[in-house]
Amino acid sequence: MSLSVLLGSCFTGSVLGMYLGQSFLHSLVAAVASGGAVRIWGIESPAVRQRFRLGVIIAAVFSFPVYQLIDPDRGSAYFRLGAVFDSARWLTLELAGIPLSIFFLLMIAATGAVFLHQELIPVIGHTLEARKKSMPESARPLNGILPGGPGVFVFQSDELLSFSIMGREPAIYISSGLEQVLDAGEVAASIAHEAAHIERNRKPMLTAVFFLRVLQFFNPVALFEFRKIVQEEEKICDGIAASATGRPEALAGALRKIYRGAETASPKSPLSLGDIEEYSHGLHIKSRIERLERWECCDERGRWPELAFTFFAIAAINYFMV
Amino acid sequence: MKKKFLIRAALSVAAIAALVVFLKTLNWLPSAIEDGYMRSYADVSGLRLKSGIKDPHVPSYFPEGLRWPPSAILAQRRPYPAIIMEFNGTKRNDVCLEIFQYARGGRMPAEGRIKFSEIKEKARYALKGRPALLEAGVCGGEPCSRITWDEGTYRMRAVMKSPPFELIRVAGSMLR
Repeated sequence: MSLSVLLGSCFTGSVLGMYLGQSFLHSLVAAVASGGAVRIWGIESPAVRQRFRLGVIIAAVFSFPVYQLIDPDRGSAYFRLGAVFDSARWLTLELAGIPLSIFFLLMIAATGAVFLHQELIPVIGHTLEARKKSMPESARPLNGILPGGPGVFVFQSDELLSFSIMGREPAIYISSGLEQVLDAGEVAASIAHEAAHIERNRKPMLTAVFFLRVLQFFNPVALFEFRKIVQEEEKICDGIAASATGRPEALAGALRKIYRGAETASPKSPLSLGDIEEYSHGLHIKSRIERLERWECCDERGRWPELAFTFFAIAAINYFMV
Repeated sequence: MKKKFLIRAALSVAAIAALVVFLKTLNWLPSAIEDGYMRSYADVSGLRLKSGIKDPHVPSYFPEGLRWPPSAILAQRRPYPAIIMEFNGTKRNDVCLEIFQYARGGRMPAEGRIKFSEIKEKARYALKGRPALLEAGVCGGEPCSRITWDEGTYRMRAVMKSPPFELIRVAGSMLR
């Protein structure tokens, strides 16, 4: 057997290989279909957009095992002959003597490396660090900001920082630098944003999605979609803060001051991975600020019929993607 | 509002249809670049000449109830060599014999067109000296049997709507 056939057989003849290949394919189709649906239906609400993106991660993790349970013969020649798309045809193809399956292998290896370097190691490091460190005792409470809500504290630092600590006793910390730079309304909006994170974390959907995403460490589509889900989460919390304070322009102002320059960053040439990350982050901040500046208390309907139709179509197409 | 919804619904359906057409085109593209993917052949000589598989195993013994030539022949060289041959009955139009020839390591379907509703007996059998697994059972209310063995680089399986006796003769006639 040639290398292309051997590698192609690994991806189409073994359960693990089929899972790797089909998870990628299923999530790609789900991402394209969900992205199209969001545009066609004019969906602006980040909560609904997040649901569409969540569907992509779910498709990546669960489609293949569920379909195999429905029909264990999905990998067979009969099934492949009638499939909408048969990955074996591409994975056993050679272009200029190089099997295309090599490129697929390289892609999943690169994605795994990015996941390890940019997500897993930093998350583990951050968790370990957070356990060792406690907040400085000098942090002073900021009373009267969130009556009945989590405690708000100011810690000594010139950097412009605000973050929240989850858990049994959630708390919000802002730096003294931030307190000096922002006006009172902007400070209140930033705190409301952090409080929204704490409130939403009571149902730790993001943590559950992260675990699903870990299972898809090799899948570039899952990597991209998970980052988008996190970005939508920020916009959801922006919305909650804007509604709670009634001053979206204050949060926009705070964002502009905290991320000064980020939203105006332009891509450099030649691009490095870091530049792309920075540029993408800048675009995200810019879109958050723009959204808050043209704030109208958005259409927060669940859009369940649109969601159901899109997911049904994705499930039907993916069933015939092998 | 309702009109806008309907337009968007129609656009969604059109977008999904466009996606399916795009995927179908992508699926066809490799066969335009290289041949060897699963396709059907009109007859056995066509299979021998065009499939690139040098040693297709075809039975030379046919009991009375089976019709020659095969009603369907599917074969591929990629990702691994495989042949599926189906034979209809003389007095009936459904598949009565199926022969699978798959490269070992390939993914042979657990069942083809003839589906077992119950397996009543399994036995080891020496098919012209080759160790084989013989199974007898019921398919849609009528007796059927199948035999599986390894032949060189291939795994072979013959499934027939008949008791094992005729199947063994058919399978034996495929071997030299």
